[in-house]
Amino acid sequence: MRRALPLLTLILTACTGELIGPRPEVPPLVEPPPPEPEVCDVPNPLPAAVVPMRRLNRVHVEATVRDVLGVTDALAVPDERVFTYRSNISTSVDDNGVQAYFDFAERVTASPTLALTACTRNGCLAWLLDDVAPRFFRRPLSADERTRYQTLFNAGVLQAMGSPTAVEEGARWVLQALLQSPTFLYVDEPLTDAGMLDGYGVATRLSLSLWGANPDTTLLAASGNGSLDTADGVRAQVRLMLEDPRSERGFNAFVSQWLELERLRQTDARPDLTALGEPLLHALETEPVLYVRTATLAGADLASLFSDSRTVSMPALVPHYGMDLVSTTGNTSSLDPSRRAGLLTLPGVMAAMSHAGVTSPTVRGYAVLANVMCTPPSPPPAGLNITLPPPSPGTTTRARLEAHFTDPGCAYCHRPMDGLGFTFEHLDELGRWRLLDNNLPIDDSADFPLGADQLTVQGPRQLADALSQRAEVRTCFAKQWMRYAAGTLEPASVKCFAVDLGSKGTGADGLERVITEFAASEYFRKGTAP
Amino acid sequence: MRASRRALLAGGMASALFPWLSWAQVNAPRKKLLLFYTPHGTIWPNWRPTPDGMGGFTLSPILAPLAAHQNRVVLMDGISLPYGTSYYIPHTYTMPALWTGSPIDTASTLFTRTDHMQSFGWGTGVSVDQFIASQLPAGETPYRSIELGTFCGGLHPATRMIYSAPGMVKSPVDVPLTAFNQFFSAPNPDLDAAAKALARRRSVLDTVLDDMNARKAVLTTNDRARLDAHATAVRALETRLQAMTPSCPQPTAPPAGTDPQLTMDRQMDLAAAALGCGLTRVLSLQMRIADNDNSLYPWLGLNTGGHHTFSHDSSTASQATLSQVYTWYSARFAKLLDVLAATPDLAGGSVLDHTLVIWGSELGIGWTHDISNVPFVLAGGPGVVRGNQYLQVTNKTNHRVLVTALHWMGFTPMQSYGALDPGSGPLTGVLA
Repeated sequence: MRRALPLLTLILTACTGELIGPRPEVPPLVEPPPPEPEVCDVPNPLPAAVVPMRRLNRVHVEATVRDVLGVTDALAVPDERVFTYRSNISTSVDDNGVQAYFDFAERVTASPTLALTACTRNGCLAWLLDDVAPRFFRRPLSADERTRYQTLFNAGVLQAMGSPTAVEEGARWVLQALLQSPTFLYVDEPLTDAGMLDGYGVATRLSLSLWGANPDTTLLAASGNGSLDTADGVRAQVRLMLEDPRSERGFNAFVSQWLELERLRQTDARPDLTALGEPLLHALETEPVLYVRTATLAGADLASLFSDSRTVSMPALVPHYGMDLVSTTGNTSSLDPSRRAGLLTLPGVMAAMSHAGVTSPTVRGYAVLANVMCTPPSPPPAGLNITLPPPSPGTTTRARLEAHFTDPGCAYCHRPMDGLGFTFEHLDELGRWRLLDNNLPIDDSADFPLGADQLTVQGPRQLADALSQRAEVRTCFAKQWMRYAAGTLEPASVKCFAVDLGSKGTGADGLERVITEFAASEYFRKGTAP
Repeated sequence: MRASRRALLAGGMASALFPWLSWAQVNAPRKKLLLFYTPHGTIWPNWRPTPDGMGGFTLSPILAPLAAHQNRVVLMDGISLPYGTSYYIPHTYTMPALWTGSPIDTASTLFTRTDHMQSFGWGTGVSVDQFIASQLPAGETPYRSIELGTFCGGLHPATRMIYSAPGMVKSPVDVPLTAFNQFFSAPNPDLDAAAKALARRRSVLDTVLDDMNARKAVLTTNDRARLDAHATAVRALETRLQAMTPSCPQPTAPPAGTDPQLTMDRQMDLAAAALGCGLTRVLSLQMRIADNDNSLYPWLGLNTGGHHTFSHDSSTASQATLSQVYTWYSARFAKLLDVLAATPDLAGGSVLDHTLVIWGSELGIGWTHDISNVPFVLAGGPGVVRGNQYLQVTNKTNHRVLVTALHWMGFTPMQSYGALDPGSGPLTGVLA
């Protein structure tokens, strides 16, 4: 089971304000933070993202092995979750990790789908050293490395001498070493004299973030010929990479971690979702990814991500949407705009932000504040008796949660959280539209503070309209992409860069521009010396 | 590499089965340590035994599953788990302190919890099991230590409790079938093929190590340390592969699947087998994680919300349901003692006769995050602990438990352990 939603569950339950023992310290009722300034000076020169030596995550390794060798296998090495996104920048590989890489390498090279057709007597070594190895190492091999791997190859051939598959045996030895080599597992980022990443370093960051795997041969060739050395070169490359079908993997990694869609697969916690069956579950988790990718490629602006009622057409979701599905033309479905508006109202997102058998306005509100606004509320003070009244036939989820509001210590955080969440109450724990909760009518209007404003909102449509126009939402999206794509948290010194990047999300091609301009920035393309 | 008939006769059956041990080693009683973890403390009113006024006690509902083992357990009431920092992020800050007795690194900005407005890194200490493992004679056992668990999640300070060095965590193998294949794979009966495989693996790993060495020149100090630890683990793997093939009697292969009870119980079987045949003397079993374990336990009536959510709910009904979960943990601990008592040890007797088992958690009470009283149970055979004891103590920290483990394993000069230890030796009256 994966660790997810730090602390979130801590505030899943309500607090009635009943105190046990001495009264705990309640967080001071501070003023909400001031809104992001309209004009913010981006530092010049922009500092580089400080990324410690990064070890590929499990998804990167598995996808690269599939791309290069045509073998699908699961790697059993856990990844770090230092912030919202998996990025292995602090731990070392321990005994069990080394064993897992070793076992993985042996399984992959023993796989019946491993194609060693290039391994004729003369062609095999060249194929390994000039094609396969650079795709694992993300750069051409050095002279020393060529010698080292040639020696290993020869030893393998020699051991199997006389066997018709002696050459293939040599190849297996080489592949096993490549798969366990630190040069494959850790991202190398050598710098040019100007302090920039070299072409291979840029290509690696682009490929890991946009394709979720190592660069391919074409991208490596571009790295070597200088076409990634300029901001314009990078912009052009990003456009090509987004249009490539492999960008679905990058969007999948970003969206599923950003919106915590992995919760949909937590069978221990969500047997109700598991019971829906694989086709529907797959559609629930895939739709938000395709929604973001399609919007990006179609030239959408950032605001529409949180307000557009068009989605990708997915047959498995037709019954789930029911009356919400208005029409389908080609690959695009139009949803009832009064019920569905933007990414957050997609059934997979709503289902992920729920509990087994019951919605959670608190989880949903927390998710909006933490992941969309980048302003997570504080945790509840210790010692509060945070007990929800038990479910009873005569109450709605909302009525139970409103118990939060009776104590000022609880209301401080729960009004904004639960208030946001109440607007989604027509969307049940599986993400379907419902008219009643517990046979009672649903009130999806709410009054809550958001940023510096006090909002009065009814239903997901009005919430979408309010959220999608906010500068904080644009800045937060930019921050999320920065964290995901750089693999590290941004320092306070680039706060205005995030504001500026988010502002590029307005207007035609806004979404694509955020991604492209981030890749073209010096924050992304510069490196840091050890 | 199989032992010859002559060796069999000379060394006896045991050394044939365990060829990496000399005859003398086989016969030497070798003490062992097993750390056991379950998340989120307990519910004290349902945990605390009732003293009978004559020095004895009646087990509480949560600990009732331990009835058959009452004379093998010491129940500790009153051990605190200090975290040693000015701010406390529940679960996260005490998981690294549990077995290390040292604080989490709050100078690091690696991890950020914006909701708490706090940054932190990994633990700054070494867990007591790893300290002991590092001090035991090199090569005495094929593995210096073994880490097993179930559902231990991704890498985060709240999901890891074993530290081989400051900032260096060890991840448990948390899938029984993986652990079985890793620790108990049958030796290849085709000696020629086995020798060839060994030659291949050595060549492959040597190439990997050459790549590591070539890399060092361009790293920061911290990254070099990370890579060095990786390289050390590769060398350890190479050494294990070259050692004579261990041929522990294979335990039954665990079934695939993720049933929580089966998974936990199979890991216990493997733990007992590994300790019994001398694969290691130091082992830990981590059941789930400290942060946000929100699993459901539908067979116990916990079918919505999750353990962590429930642990924040002090209503009578929720606490009753939660008690069922803690009772189930207790039943798993009882099951562990069952299997340790039923597994023969190389040195004679059962594994439990030679093993100190310590059960701990990252906090005392779930819904308040209280760490002033964290439940610990110490268990073992009659030569290990003075069982059938319920000890109420005051002003004692988890360090007393850690030092007790050190004393059991022979490190008797040590009176304190970990950066936060106020000092004062082992728990008194616990070890036999």
